[in-house]
Amino acid sequence: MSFARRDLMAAAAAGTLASAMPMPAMANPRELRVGVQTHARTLDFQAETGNNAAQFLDCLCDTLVEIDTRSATPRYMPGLATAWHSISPTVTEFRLREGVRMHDGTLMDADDVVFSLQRVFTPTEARYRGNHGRYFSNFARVEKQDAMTVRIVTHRPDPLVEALLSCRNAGIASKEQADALGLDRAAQSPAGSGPYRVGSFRPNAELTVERFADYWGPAAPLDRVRFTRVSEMAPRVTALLNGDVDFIVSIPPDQQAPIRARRGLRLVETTWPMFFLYVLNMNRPEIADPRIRRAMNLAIDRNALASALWGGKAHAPRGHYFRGFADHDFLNDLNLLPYDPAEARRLMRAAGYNGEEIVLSFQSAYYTYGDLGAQAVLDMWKDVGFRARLQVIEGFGQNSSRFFTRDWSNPLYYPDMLGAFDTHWAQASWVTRDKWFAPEKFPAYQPLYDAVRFGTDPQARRDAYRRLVILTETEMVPWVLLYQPAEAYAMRANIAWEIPHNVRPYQLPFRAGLVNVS
Amino acid sequence: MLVVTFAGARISGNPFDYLYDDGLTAEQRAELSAEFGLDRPLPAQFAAYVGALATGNFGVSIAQRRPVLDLYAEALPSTLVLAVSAFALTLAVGLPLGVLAAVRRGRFWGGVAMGVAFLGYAMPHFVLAIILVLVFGLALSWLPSVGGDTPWHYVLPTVTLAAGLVASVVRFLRGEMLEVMGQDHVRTARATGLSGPRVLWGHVARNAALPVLTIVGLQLNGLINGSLIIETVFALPGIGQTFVGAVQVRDYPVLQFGVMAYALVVVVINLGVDALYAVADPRIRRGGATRMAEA
Repeated sequence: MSFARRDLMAAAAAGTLASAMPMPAMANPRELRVGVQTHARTLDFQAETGNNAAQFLDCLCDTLVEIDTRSATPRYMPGLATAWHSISPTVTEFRLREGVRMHDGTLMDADDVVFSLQRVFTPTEARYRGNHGRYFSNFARVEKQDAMTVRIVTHRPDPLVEALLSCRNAGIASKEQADALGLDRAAQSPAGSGPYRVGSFRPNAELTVERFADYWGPAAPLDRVRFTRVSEMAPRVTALLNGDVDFIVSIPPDQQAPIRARRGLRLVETTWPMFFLYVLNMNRPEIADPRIRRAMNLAIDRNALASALWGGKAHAPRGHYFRGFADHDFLNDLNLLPYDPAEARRLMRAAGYNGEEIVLSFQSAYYTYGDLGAQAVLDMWKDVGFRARLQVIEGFGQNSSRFFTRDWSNPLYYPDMLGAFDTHWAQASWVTRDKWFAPEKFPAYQPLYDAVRFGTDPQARRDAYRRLVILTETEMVPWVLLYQPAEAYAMRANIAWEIPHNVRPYQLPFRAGLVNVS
Repeated sequence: MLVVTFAGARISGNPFDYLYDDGLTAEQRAELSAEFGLDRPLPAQFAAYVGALATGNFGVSIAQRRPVLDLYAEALPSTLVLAVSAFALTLAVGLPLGVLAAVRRGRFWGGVAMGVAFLGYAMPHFVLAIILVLVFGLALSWLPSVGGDTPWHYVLPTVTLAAGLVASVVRFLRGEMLEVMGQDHVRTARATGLSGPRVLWGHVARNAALPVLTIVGLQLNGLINGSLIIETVFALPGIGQTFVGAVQVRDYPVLQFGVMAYALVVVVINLGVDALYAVADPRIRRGGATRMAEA
């Protein structure tokens, strides 16, 4: 269910009405009540890779390698491992931190690490296949050396071991708890070692995390954080305005007015390193010719989309690189996605386009402004002469080969120039498995990918990534990048909280030093 | 009902298509299907399902891997509070307003009562919910708008849910009472010198009660329907959210239990209404019928 713009205008009007009123006092300054748009079905660190659970996992689990979320560029720090070094090009040894208490009262040791990471590296059960393909396909196994030492073995020498192990999906959970409760029950209340532990969890509805008194690091700054799902926008904004919650997420630009007008509240905005895009099925005969797919791209006025839908706060992409992400700054001169309807028409003619129907399939009410975006793109395609129609679907699932397009988001999963591209477009990803993405038809692709993924010379990696971005955008054309959507968080003005760096989009850090309630 | 629910769920899609955004390999799909018994022929699945039901085993959620009964049990209190309070409010407001609308027909208060009824009838739940949130939550800050922590949290959802039901009760009660008021026995009662209130409550309201009972029974079913939407808007963690979540990902066991439980509730309510007929109308009681026949 969703609400029309007029509801939001009413919200804005009422918000203006209420703007002169002071904010009610926080019920408990040591407890943060967060209204989230979506929630999670489980809290399984290793299996929950989506945007929903990403909001919560940082509170609950630690990783062997941690990352400085306040540094503009990635800076790795000891986490549950205090030191690590290479034994050979494919083997890295990690010395584990002593005395780390898990939420089930046990002490963290090599068995917990082997249990947790092995599930990610070589999942033996279907339900845990989630991040293996996207993240860790180069990781072979983790071996216990002694109680507090493990070795991680990769298939090929991997320069991104630290980056990947800093992801929350490489979080360490208690093996003892999983053995005692079984994986299913453990996934509802996993025993990690994070600064907060699960207090209560109602899947898809509410999660309360509580300060973990035995945390090995700096104590959590809050007694309790309660994440409640308030899926509808108007009640979510209202809940903040009248003091039912202290912090809300996902406020699109056209709904920010009542918050801006209210004293005692503040907005924190960002443009996450993430694309909203349509995957193009390269093997669908009607769009198998790359010139057709390129024409579909050139027909789109991305600045108009960013302006009309997002009030100018979204970024219009100019290639597969993120504006505002330090590791991609060297690509800022590239503009591979101009709005060029004349060139689009020329390519259609050259490819012999003869009015074949193009079907834009997307999931309604799935991504913010996804429906409006699809309608706008459809009109732009029609403007250059495509015969096109929309198809609303519930899910792609099995037999996805019949579709032309799929709406998707590509967040930066790990803090590296390849952190979005790799996790979505690697060989182990669904796009390759289901043959939507056909890199084998482009001999230049794999060497370039390998050079970026496994290269160690920074400049050579940058050069290879530049060529990879140009190749994919102009010759392979497996996607239609639409925009980097804007995201806004609203909170009481007495809450000091900033957008974290170097983490997966949507992660909500409430650790020591990252949030402060005055 | 079992067959329709079972088949309908499977026709609507496969849970793994919705639970795994990135799809599955054939091997992974086969492994998961085997885990939940979905690899067997449909008749065998159905037989297993019915057999399990017979032993009180309602299955395990495919999405959450928890017993279905647990999911509904923990969500039930919230929905129960909402439904009971909305029903109580419906009776407390709907019955007097219905009587008022009939007795004051054509006058100011009768018009007000019917105006309220039509407004409640015409306005969809989610629109009324938003208006109440904006007025009482946002503008006036009198009431909380999301969650279910305190009794105050249930005020707006209760009013929202009751609004449509009040409207129905008012409309039907008014209609029935007007019809009864025009009948001979009422005129006779007045002619015998009975006071207005005694005629109204003893002769009119009692006779109008039967059809209204039917409507109230049907409205009880509506409470459950309405709570599906209202729980979403007000972020109440009730069975509506549990059920809608199951439908979204085709979580067969949760979905099947939800439909079956709903059907059971409808049957029980209708039985209860039938039983109440006998209370409201002595002619329906068997003894009464026998006596009438003997006479």
